[in-house]
Formats: sequence, C-alpha cells, structure tokens
Amino acid sequence: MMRRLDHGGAIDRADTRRFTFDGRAYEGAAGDTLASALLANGVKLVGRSFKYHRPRGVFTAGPEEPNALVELRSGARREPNTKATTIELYDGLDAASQNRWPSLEWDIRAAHRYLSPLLSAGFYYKTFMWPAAFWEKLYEPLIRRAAGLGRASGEPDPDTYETAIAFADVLVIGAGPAGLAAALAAARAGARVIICEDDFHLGGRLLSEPHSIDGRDALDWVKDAVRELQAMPDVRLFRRTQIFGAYDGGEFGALERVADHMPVPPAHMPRQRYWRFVVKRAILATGAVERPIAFADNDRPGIMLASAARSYVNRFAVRLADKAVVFASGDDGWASAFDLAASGAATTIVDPRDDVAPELTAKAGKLGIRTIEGRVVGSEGGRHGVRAAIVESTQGRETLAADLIAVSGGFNPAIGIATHLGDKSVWSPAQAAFLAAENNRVATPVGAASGKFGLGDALRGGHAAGAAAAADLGFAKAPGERPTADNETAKLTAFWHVGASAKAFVDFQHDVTVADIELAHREGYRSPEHAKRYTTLGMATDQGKTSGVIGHAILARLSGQADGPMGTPAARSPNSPVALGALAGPHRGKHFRPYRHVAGHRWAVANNAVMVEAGQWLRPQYFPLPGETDWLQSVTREALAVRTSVGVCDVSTLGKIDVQGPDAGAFLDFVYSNTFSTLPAGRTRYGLMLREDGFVFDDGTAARLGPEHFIVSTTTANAARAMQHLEFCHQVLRPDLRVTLASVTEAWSQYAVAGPKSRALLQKLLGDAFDLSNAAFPYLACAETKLGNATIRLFRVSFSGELAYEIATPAQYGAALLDALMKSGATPYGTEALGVLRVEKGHVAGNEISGQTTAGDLGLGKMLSAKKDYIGRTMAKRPALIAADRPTLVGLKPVDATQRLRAGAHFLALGAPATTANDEGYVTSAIYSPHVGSWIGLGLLKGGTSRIGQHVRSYDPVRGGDLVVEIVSPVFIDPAGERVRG
Amino acid sequence: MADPIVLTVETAFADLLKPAGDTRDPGVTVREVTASQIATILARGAIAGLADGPKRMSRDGADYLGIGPGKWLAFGPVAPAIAASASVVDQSGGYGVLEISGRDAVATLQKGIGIDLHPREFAPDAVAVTTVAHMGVIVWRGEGDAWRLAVFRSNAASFWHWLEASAAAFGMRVAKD
Repeated sequence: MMRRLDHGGAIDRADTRRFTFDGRAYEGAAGDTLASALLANGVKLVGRSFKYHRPRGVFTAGPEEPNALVELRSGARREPNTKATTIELYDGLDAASQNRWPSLEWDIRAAHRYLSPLLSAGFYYKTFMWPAAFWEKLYEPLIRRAAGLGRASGEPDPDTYETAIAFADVLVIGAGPAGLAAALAAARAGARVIICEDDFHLGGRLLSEPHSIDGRDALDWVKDAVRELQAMPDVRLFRRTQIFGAYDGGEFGALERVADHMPVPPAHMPRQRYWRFVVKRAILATGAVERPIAFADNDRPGIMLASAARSYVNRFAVRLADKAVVFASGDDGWASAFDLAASGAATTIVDPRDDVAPELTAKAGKLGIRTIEGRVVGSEGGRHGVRAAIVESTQGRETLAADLIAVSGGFNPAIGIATHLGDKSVWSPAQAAFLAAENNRVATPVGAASGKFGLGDALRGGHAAGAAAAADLGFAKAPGERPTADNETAKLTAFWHVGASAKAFVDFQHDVTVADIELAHREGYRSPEHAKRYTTLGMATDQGKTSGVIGHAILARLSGQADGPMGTPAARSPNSPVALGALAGPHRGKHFRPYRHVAGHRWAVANNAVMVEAGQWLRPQYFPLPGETDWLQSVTREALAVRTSVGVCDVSTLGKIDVQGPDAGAFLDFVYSNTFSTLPAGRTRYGLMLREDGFVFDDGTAARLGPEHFIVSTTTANAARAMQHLEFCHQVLRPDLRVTLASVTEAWSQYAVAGPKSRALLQKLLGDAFDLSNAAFPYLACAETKLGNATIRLFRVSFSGELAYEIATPAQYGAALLDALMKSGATPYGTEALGVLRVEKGHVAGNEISGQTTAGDLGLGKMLSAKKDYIGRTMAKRPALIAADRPTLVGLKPVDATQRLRAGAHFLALGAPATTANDEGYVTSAIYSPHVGSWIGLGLLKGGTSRIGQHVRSYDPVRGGDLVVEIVSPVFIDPAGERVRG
Repeated sequence: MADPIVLTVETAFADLLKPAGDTRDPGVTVREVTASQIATILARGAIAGLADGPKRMSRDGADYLGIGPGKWLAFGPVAPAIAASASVVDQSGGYGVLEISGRDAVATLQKGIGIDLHPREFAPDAVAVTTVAHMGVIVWRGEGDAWRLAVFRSNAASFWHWLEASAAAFGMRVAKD
C-alpha cells in the first residue's frame, strides 16, 4: 500500500493541506506537491495518454513530468496542462485529470489503443491526406477533440501579472549543491549575484538524497548557505522561479510563480512575474534529468524513474510500494533501491551489467535486496497500475510481483538553456550524456549539468565557477572556503531499451514507442530533427526531457552507430511553457500599448466625444448630441456649424517642430520642396516635403515667428517620423547649417477655430489687446501674444476652407483655453467633420499622401521649386514619376446623388470589364458632403484633370458598390478661396 | 471691459494622483513635481559650464539634465550666459514630472525601467533617457532615496496606469508638492 511514512521528509505533517482531485477530497501536508500528496494518498492513476488514452501515473518528481498533467483550479482560473509534480500543494487546491471521458478510470477513448496500428508514427501525415476537403471539417476537429492536452477556461484571466528587470554580475541557475556553492563563492568575492531556483525548496537533490557536506547533514549546510546568501545586500535569491530562456546580451527570461501556491493571489499580488535578468556571467547548475529504459508496457501507473521514487521516499516521505523492482544500468539506481528498501519495500534490483561493484552488491545483500543480472522485459497490471515485472536473465524468465518498478537508465544533464544561443551540445561516451560544448556562450555548466554527477565534484565545480566569474569581473575579495563532500559511485552503462515492442514507450506524453522510431527510420526519417517531426518525439509540454535522448540513441543504433546518439535537436526557449499573461504583464485590454491624451481629453470625454485612435493618440471623432442616433447625423451637424457659424477642433496632435538659428530658413528650403527663406516674419506658408525617392513625404504649414525662428507643423501620423527626418537631414546631410531642432508637440495645445464667426469669437476672447481684423492679421499671418496670463500663438490658416485660425498655448493651459473657447459658444467638431470639410475643400491628407503619390499626382506640382535644391528633387524627375498617365487627384460625384460612394472603390471606364488591366485608379477619400448634398470623394484617376466632366464606373467588389461617378474638380467649395481670406 | 482672462494651469498628473494598494505602511511615495519652467537647451556651439553626457548639473538655480549631444533639459530659469549660446525652447507644459521615493521605489521602477538603477551603476548625478512600458522617460535622482521621472504629458495616464499597477503591491501614498 502506498501511504505517508511516519517520519522524515521535507514536509510538515502538522500543517495539513486539504485538496480535491477529480472531485474526491484528500489531505496532504505543507511541502507536498500535488503528485506527492496523491501518491501519499494511494492515488496511482493520474492521467490518460495523449493518443491512446492509456492509463498513466506519476513518472517523475519534477518539471520533466510527461504524464501527470492536470487542470488546476476551476472557473476562470482553470489552468490546463499543469504538472502535478511541480504544483506546490495549498489548502483548498482543486485539480482534475484531463484527456479522459467520462472519467479517468473509465475512459471511452481508451479504445484508441485498438487503433494503434493506424496511429503509428506519421499517422498525421498519412491518414488524413484525402479527401482534402475533409481536413478542416472532419479530421482536424476529430483529432483536436480526441488528442487533448486539457481545456483553457475560455474566460478572461481574473489575476494580474507583471514584468520586472534585475541586473547582476553573476546569475546562478539552480540552487542545488553546485549552485549554492557557486553563488556563495561569487557573492563572497563581492559580485552582485542572482540565484534562481525553480523549486519551492532550496537544495536541489540534497532534498531527495541523504548526504553529508563538510562532515554534517547536507541540509544543514543548505540552511547555512541560504542564510548567508540572504544576509548579503547584493544577492537576490529567487525560489519558484524558472529560467526559461537565454537571449543575446546576457539576458535571461525567468518566470516567478509568485502566487501559484495560493488558491487566489492576495490583493495587489500578481500571480506570476516575468523577469528579465541581465547579467555579465551565468553559471548553469540545473542538475540532470534521469532517463528511463524502454521495455514493453513500461508506461503503467506505478512505473517511475528511480530518482523520482527516491525523492518521493526521502523528500516527501511516501512509502511507494510493498514490493519494488528497480531496473537500473547504473550505480545511481542502486542508491534509489537502497532508499526504497529502507522505506519498507521488499526490493529487487535488476541490472544488465556484469561488472557491478562488489560494494554495491554487498550493501544490497545487507539490506535484504535481491539482485538479478538481467533485464526487465515487460510488466503486468491493470487499470490501476503495475502488478508485476517480467524479468529475463541467464536463469530464464520470471515474473516478479511488484507494485513499483523504478527505472534508471542514466542522466541527461539539463543543458537546454546552454543551447539557446545556438551553441552545440556534444555526446560524451564517458558520461553517456550530451554535455554543453566547451566555452559555452550562455553559461558555465557545473555539477550534474556539466556531467559531473558526484556531490564532491559538484561542490568543487560550483565553487570554482563562482570564484572564477567574480575574479574575471574584477572582484578581488576571497571566495571563502570550498565546501567538501565525497563523490558517490556513479558508474553507468548506457542502456536504452529492451526489444522493440509497439508498447515500449519512449515518449510518454506523445505516445511514441520504440516501434514508432524504428518505423520512422525505415521510412527515411533518420536524423533526430526529421524523426522528431515525423514521430512527434520530444514535443509538447515536457519537450522530451526524459525521452529525447533515448529516441536519438535508438536512431543511432539503427544507423549502425554504436557510440550513442549522433546528435540531439538544439533546445529553444522557452525551456518550460510560459503563460502569455505573464509576458503581457499589466498591458492588457486598452492598456495593451500606451496611449496619448491631449490636454483637452477630459473636456472631450465629459462632452460625450466618441474617441478614435490616431496612432497612439486618442482624438475626438465626433460629439453626439442627445437625440442623435447616427454618427453621420452628428458629423453633418458639426460640419455645417463650421460652414455657417464657428467650430473648434483640437489639433494638438499635429506634429510641431521648433526650428531656430541663423540658417533656419536655408534649412527649411532644403527639406521643403518650396521656398521658406523668403517668408517674412509673421507669416505662414503651406509646405510640402518629399522623400529622397521623390515621392511626397508629408505636408503642413511652417510659421515664421521671427527672423531665426520657425514652427513647422506636420501631420499627426508623421510627427515622429518628420522629426527624425529633419534630425537626419541636419546631422548627416547639412551639418554646416546653423540650426537647432526641438519637438514641441507635447508642449503646446492647439485648436482650430473655423467658420465665418471665428474672428468674432476670438476677438471677443482676446479683447483689445490684439487686432484680428483682416487688415491687421490677414490670411496666413501668425503672431505670438498673450491671452491673460498665458502665452498664445495665433496662426491664420484654414484646413476647412472657411475663415479660420489656429490658436496655441503651452499645454499646461490647454484645458483652460479649450474651456474658454467652448464657453464662447463654438461647436466642437471631431476628426470626422474635419475630414468632411477638407474633402469639400479638396485638401489632401494621409489617404492621398500614401507614400505612392508625387506632388504632381496631388495637383501640387507648382510647389516643386526650380530655383533651389531640396530633398527628393532629382529623384522626383524620374520618368515614371512624371509619366503623363499617372493617376492624379480628381473630385468625384455620384451621377445618382442618392448613391453612396466608398473609399477604396476602383475606377473602370464605362462598359469595361472589371479586370486589373482595366483599372484606372481608386477612390482615396469619400464623405457625405452637407454642402453638396450628396456623397462626394477624392480619387486618383489616370488622366486626372483632363477627364473632368467624364463619367467613370466606381467599382467596389468587396462591399458590393458599383456606381457611375462624374469626374469634377477636387475643390467643391469656394474655388476662388474668398472665404479663407474674408 | 470684461475681467482679464486667467487660464488656470493643469499639471500632467493633476487628475491622476491617487494612492495604490495597502497604504498603511507604504513602500512607495509619489509626488508630482510641478516645476514651473522646463526648457530644452540646444547648443549653438560650446556652452561654458555645461558638459556633454548623461549627467545632471546645477547652475545658478537651475538643473540641467544632459539628454543628448549638445542637448539639455533645464529645470528652472535658464541663465542668460547659457541662453546666449543656445536655442532655448519652452517645454514647461510638455512633461509631467514625478518624484518616486521610499524603500520599494527601485523595485517599483525596475518593473518598467530596463537600465540598472543600482548605486554602483547609476551615480547620484546620472541621467538616463530610456523607456518605461514603451513610453519615453527621463530618469534622474532626487534627494536621498528619491527618483525623478519626466514623461511626456500625453503619456501621463498610461504612465500612471503602469506606476499604479507596479507600486500597488508595495502600497503607494501620494505626497503633496
């Protein structure tokens, strides 16, 4: 019977933890994992396999677990594929098995095992090839339902996550004996150290194996080491934290399970924290993962790794078995057998080696352990687990009653992280293991991770690596005394599998058998990478930590390689699954990325604005009034208010660049296609910037506030890019010009005040201090003055085609200025009405300045100065950019005024079939024009202005639009420009 | 004649500052620094007394933070001698400035700032132009354990969300300027 031992172990029996598994209530103790608590309660069957739904039990005692995957918690917190071997037991824990129906014990899909001939290696590629149409509708849903790795909750995660960064001189990965020795040495020498342990207890294998260090109990040494490390101010010690990846520049990704060991995180505590550790040196003390030996029916519950059995006995005080068989080809398996015997199991060791050290056999004899030179070739048992081991030896075949078979085929150093930057691992026949190649760029492996399996070597290697890392970084203090211990005997003969049964499992998580690997090899998938893809060996949540190397060794044998595996696929990050929530941290929902608010944001929200994203900015799109049911109704009202009275639009998001210096004018001449040096102070001019390749880059106005002072305005979308462009032009192309550039977009709030009553409104606000009359402040004038206590800048510019001004003030006054403007009775208008007004006026915007249009295309050819050099001048003259048949800007009006025009529709000559060859351009902007009384648009049409008066077809197959439009001038309102000058 | 208009000043974090988490023993204190004058100083040649580099310098009652070659952010009135050989561009409304202090200030900041704030690496007069949660930020040290951060005014709400989320675990109180 499996049960809890009466004494021993790193558990606190007094601190009981109640939990449920598949609805049944159990009790465990503080210090348990879910797996150890289940075993202590006699629960062997914990899951069903992925493909054949075979009953499976706990196989390991760590993150390499392939079998014991559970759904942890319920409701929105349900987390599938959680390894029972790593879940720290808490009071109230609620877990369920997965991949079974209706229950774990009676799983209907266990019938899949009878389909196993069909589900062998490559079945995915073979079985479902035909008919192709069945894939999406039939096969894939079928496979997805059957081949389960648990279910996500489908609900929003109620918990929070965060990200953080920590820096250190030395990172030590793993807090076992080697890691602790390394951290102590580096820290004592004066280095800043991060030591990081995946487990919730520190000590690594010392928790599971009885050892002495410096002549006393190893766990006492661990306690002292931890105490010393915690007392040092520049040491950070992380538990429950897994390094999941190594990245360039000494950066490591780590996941700290901050509150996973609690039912619900306390207020303000994140469930998990994603760390980025940036370090100068790293030491890999991750230990090693035991690998099993494959034999027929080696996957029954009750068959587990020998080192795991030892952990459950020693660390978790679980009596695992009455009768145990240990199948081992190395000395470490014997150590496990000794501990099993000590826990009260009648134990037999089966070892294929003929050269086992006499001390071991003598010790076994003393403990009453039977030893057999032979091999386990199969198991017997039922749904609830193994009942017997079938053993073959020179004495023949015998069936040994056993409720535990512990398997030990050697150790794989946990070097996954060391290969994340592409460094190789190499097979070492001496250790029968893959080791990190010399001079690994990620980290220095020590202890078992370096293939040195003895405790004495681990302490020596850890101490030396810690001291060397610190010394290398210039820390001169003494690294302290090296802890010492004996090396235990660790001889091993690599032994991979017995026979080639279709039930000899290599990869438990993906049900890959020895026979599958042989089949893959026969079919030509001979390299480890190919065989991995074909058989799925080493995939899924455990990434083949127990299985991969065996599979590769089998491939090697099939290829006639006697020395062991030819190679193993490089590990990639993440080393263990990482929840996306942890990577996102607090950046969820609308906080996915930062957003930008104008100073008038609160006013806009308070006034019912519907906001639209413009890059990171949130801008008011329109302001619905009570009773308005449709955006178009609001937008039309706002546009009409500007045409007939006065409206105010927040244009603070437009880029503003302060350009100063004696050569400011010359610099603007260089970056704009038109001339600015001749602009008098107090005047504003519309300007066009080209890219080097001759296409239009951006447009806007530049105002000359003084002889050496301009304010350049850019579009919202190009604000940052324009600033970069100007910096580049100055620093790289024209460093000779005496000019300074500063972005002042953030520093100023700016409002367009537009409409026939705009002057009256502003004049009232400004009072007698500033004369806005046409004579004193004509179209395109600019000035800096005061409004009460605040500096303001006035620009008489118009995007709407109406009499209009823009008024700017330092942003700390922005909200107050907006308030003052709105109290004067203006109608607020948003980006939609702004768009309506500019289309009516024929002004181009981002839709037209698309990066594919030239100044000529946009009807702005006259802005290309012939008298000076400027960016893009030469390239704009390339033949294709001045070709006569380029699509150019036109206005569009549906012939049937009731029809709606849509942007994106393409132009076709009337009667021409809708083919790409007949394409004549497209609609760039379309709006409903209250001024015209119908939908109108702007577009780029081949032949452009020469076709005014013609009819063309506007064809929009995506949204089913198909109408005839008349080509008209792009300026629908006030073509003479009287309003802006009025 | 109407009364002369007065436009009231609104600081970047004015409507955002509020305590976060359990504030009985707060690990973090935040205060909005309502500096009245901030300006970008762009050298038009060598400026006597201002050296290039990411350092904070104090000159005649103003602090100058080196934020780029020939470029400083000045807090306080710019000395005429400096203004004479530079372009001085007002940025007073362009930034929100927070002072973050307390025993967990650094732990809070390192949830967003990707540079090393350890005293070995970040000297008392150091300045860094870096990012927090994809937002530009200028970082320097204030008095004692205090840190100062300048962020663009438009990012104040997003920055505050990050700060609140990051400091709540430690408890954050708001101090008055």
